[in-house]
Amino acid sequence: MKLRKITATVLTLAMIIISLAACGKENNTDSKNTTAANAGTEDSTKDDGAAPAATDTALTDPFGKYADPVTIHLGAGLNPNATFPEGESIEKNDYLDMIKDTFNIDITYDWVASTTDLEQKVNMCIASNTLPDIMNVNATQYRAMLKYDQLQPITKAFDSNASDLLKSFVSSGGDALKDLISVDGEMMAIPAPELTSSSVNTMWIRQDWLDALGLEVPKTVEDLEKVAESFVTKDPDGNGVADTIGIVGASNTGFLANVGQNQFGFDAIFASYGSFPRYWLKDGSGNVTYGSIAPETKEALAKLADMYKKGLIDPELLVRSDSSEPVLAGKAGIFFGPWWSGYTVQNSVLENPTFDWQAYEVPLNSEGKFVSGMSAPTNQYIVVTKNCKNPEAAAKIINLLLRDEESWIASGLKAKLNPSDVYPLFNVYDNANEIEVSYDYLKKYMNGDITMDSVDFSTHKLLKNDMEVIKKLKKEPYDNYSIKNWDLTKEEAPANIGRLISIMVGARPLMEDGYDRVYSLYYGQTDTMASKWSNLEKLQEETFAKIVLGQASIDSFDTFTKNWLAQGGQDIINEVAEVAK
Amino acid sequence: MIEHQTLGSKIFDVINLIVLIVITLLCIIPLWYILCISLSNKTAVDAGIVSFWPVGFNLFSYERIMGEKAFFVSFWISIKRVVLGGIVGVGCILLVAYPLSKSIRQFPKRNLFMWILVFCMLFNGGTVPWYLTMKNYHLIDNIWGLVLAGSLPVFSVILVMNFFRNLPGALEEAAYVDGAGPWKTFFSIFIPLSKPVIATIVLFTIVGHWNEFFQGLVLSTKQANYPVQTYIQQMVVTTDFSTMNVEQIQQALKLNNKSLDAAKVFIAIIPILIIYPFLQKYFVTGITLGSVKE
Amino acid sequence: MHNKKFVKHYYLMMLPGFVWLIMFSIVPMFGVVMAFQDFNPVQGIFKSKFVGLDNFRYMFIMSDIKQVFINTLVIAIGKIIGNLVVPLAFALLLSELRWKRFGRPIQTIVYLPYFLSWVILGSIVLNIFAYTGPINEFLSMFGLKPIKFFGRADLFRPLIIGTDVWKSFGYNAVIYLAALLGIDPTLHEAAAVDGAGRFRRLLHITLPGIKSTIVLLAILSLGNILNAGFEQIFNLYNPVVYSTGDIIDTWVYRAGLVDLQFSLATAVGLLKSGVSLILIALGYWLADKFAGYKIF
Repeated sequence: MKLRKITATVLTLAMIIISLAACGKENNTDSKNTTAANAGTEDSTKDDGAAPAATDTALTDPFGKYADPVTIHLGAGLNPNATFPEGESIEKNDYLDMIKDTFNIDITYDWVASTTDLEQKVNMCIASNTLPDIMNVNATQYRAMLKYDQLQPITKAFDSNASDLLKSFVSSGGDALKDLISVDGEMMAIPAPELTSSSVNTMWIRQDWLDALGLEVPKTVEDLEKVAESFVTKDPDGNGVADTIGIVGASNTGFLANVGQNQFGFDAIFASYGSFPRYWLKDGSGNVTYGSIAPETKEALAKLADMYKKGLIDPELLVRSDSSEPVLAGKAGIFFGPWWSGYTVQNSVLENPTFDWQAYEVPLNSEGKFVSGMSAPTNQYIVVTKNCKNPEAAAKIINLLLRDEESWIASGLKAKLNPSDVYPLFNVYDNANEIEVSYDYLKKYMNGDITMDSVDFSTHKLLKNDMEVIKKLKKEPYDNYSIKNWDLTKEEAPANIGRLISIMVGARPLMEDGYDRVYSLYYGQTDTMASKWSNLEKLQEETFAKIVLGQASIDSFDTFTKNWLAQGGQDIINEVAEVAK
Repeated sequence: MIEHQTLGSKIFDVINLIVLIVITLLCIIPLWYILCISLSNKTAVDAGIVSFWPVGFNLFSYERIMGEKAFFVSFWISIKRVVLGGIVGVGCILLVAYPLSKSIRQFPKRNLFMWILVFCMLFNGGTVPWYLTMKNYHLIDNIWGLVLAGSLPVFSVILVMNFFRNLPGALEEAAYVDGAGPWKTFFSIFIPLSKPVIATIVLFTIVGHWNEFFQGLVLSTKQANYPVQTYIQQMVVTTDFSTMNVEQIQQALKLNNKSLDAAKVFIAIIPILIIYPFLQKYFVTGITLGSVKE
Repeated sequence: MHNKKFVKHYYLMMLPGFVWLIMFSIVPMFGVVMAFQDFNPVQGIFKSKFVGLDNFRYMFIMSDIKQVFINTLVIAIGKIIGNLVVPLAFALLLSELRWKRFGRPIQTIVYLPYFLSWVILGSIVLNIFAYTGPINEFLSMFGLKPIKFFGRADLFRPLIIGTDVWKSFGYNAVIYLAALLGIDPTLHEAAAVDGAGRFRRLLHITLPGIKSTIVLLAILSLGNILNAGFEQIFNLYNPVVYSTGDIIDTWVYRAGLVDLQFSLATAVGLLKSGVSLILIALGYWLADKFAGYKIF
């Protein structure tokens, strides 16, 4: 008995030691492979003399092929629900084969994390300095990597290897974008330009509810209040129960107002008062100030607090874990969101074709205009770390995506395996005005003003598919995009209706009615921000939330302004003023 | 134990039962809710209208799980982790606890070791150094990484040690008189008498390994090596659209399936449901133990 | 008598456990150095610049830090007390259950919520306490107005403590249940013969019988004095309840969103561990001095 137990213990320990040793070996072979791969890379440099032609094109031609295989280590974020065709995986798929065929680049993934865990994983990489060759990081991570000196400049690699298309996308962002990706004149990252249209949060409203109650589309904040009140009190869904919500707002992880796209935020309402929280602006006398502490913001907050008190705004504002729930359940009449909110409502619309969501530029300001704050020129950065021997590979990999994405749609490859799931370093590289252009073409196409032959699809990757599908799904009249005028029973509907609603409904007001843009003077981070910003953000969020929810009087805004300035805000304003001269 | 039941005692029994049943019902809510979600129509779940009864009852989620190999791979990893972790953990806990249950007279250095344990229970160097250490041991993407990562469960050691200390010293003395050494005393007297506490720490160890998801995330470089709770966690964490591009938002909205996630959460609890009653048996057999108390 | 000879066997027994401890607990502890550095991953632990106590100072110059500490302490202490008392009460009720066959299913069910992570449980809790959720529906049956539970700073702490206890009391009760089984049933029988009622036996036999377990758990739980539970609060809080619900860990998390604050996170971790050690040592000393227990 005793012996057996001792033996068991000893065996366990032995197993630990053996397995420790075994895995040590495994990893040794791994590192050997890496060394071999690196050696290969070095060889290719050495081979320069022997086969100059082959290598030269690799380093200068955006689509040039390396003479010898080059291994690039990456990390990847993968949608945890992504499915793969038999025999394919993120590490072995058609896209990787194409990259290999075109450039002789072998992509090796050091790790693959879920998109939900990606940020944490990248932070861990930065903190432990175990970095892949090329990474796709957010603004905070990008700044940290710059600070820690983990990045190499890519000016030369980009100039000689980025395709004209990629260069044009990057230059479309202008100087504001250039400032964000440059340090001392050296380019440090390839940005993914933000779509201009994504910054604009318009009002999405249930047109069928408006019609049922005989109401007009609101224009001003006062109109909005009246409509919301009717939505709450007059049983727009006709079920005999007072269970409808006027305006749905941010969830417990959302923001009342933010820079750029902010689904379920109240940015449009703030903007109608001339208030732009979280934006750096010039005040009337030309001094730099912060939008959150401006007097206009106080007015907007007072109005929101009033609306909340009257029950026009969801009582669970800022408490809900998911604000889209009442929208999808058909219990809410109004929310604010960017053009892509069509994707949000698609499934519920397919199931309940009476839910007629339409987007309008509401509310207008006192001059009758719709104004929107605009986001930072980029929020995603592709960076090349110091240990990467082939910095030009970053541009090359993106070149291929830009050139061929359209043909992947045509060949059905995209439907089989979405590049946004598996293409290395994927970002949306569209013209900043892609959505506006798509709307324009689709509208003209439906009106019969143009045919598909007259469109140059080379710079508009998704447009061809959009045009084909809209023809099938859209019913007459072609200039009315009410949900009644779509054929939702077609087999193309589930996969495409979200995008088509997003463009034809979501982007429509932007194109038809136009809007004024307000840019922040500065989208970066100053020195003082690094240490004080989270505290100031908390101060703001707490004050705003308490005012709107009626737990603090509107006068607490003045205290907030004073505290904000005193606790580092003034220093930061001075710093921003210095940078944004 | 037959005794005369007073009226007050009887009333207490009934109230007691009612209170316990109410408590039980309160505790069944989350699991029932998850079950309802997993049996409901996806659109209804997204709209948040499912509460305590399935809406649009269907078994699609469970059918889909059957075809999802990756889920069962992660399930198997967790089972391996629990079994290996249970053996290593419980073995080490018992072996460390026994000497520490001795008095200073019997084992002069015990206090030193005890405080080292307490110190290690409270202090850690943070995630990054821990990750680097694991990497140096080559325990990334390795089942032993998951088994050993948590280090010695000091809380359980203290629990067992206290239990050992409360066992009657007379038994031990008798064993020594018979010429038994510490190993024999440990295995033939202490272990058989400690079934309830062993069952407790077996449970704690198993549950600890089964529930843990953060280490699984840090110590794996791909989904294929995730234990089941890490696998589930990555599905259920709220997606932050603010940092995603349009294509990713579109994919997330299209592929996201709360009903399927709920089914996975539910299935991942089943092993726990099975193992607990099995261990409960040992809580009952421990009852004879008290008869030899000092 | 054989003590001297035995000691080397004792060392041998502890060997595997301590090797494990050294490799996976003590070795990574070198990381605490980061708390005193302006950590730069490229330079690593050995070359990063030392900044003394700057990371700690950074924390204490923040205007809201006092409130954050109060929140942390109040929530953590509430949880410590709740998680000691409720499982004990439950275990006692269960042991007094007359119809034993209900015992096991009850015990199994109540420990289930423990197995759901706060990501999952968080949205369930928010739904239950929603403005139109089941609790408010229940209240409205008595003509009460609906309550915005998680939108009120004054209710946040009780809700956090309550839901945490609800999640884990069944699991925490396991230790007490095991301890209750250690009590000699003949003591109960003898007392019953002497005519002692159930309540008196509870006071004079049951509670003394598990007193050492209670004291042990109480002292060990002092180690959680600054752990208010990041996962739970992060999934349930919102800006309106910052004044009562923002804790050290959420505060550090948000600081990390602006600037990856590796050193700050380590410093805070070290501070929490230090306070825990002091309190546990104090508890150990008090238990020894006043009750004569050496808990370990």
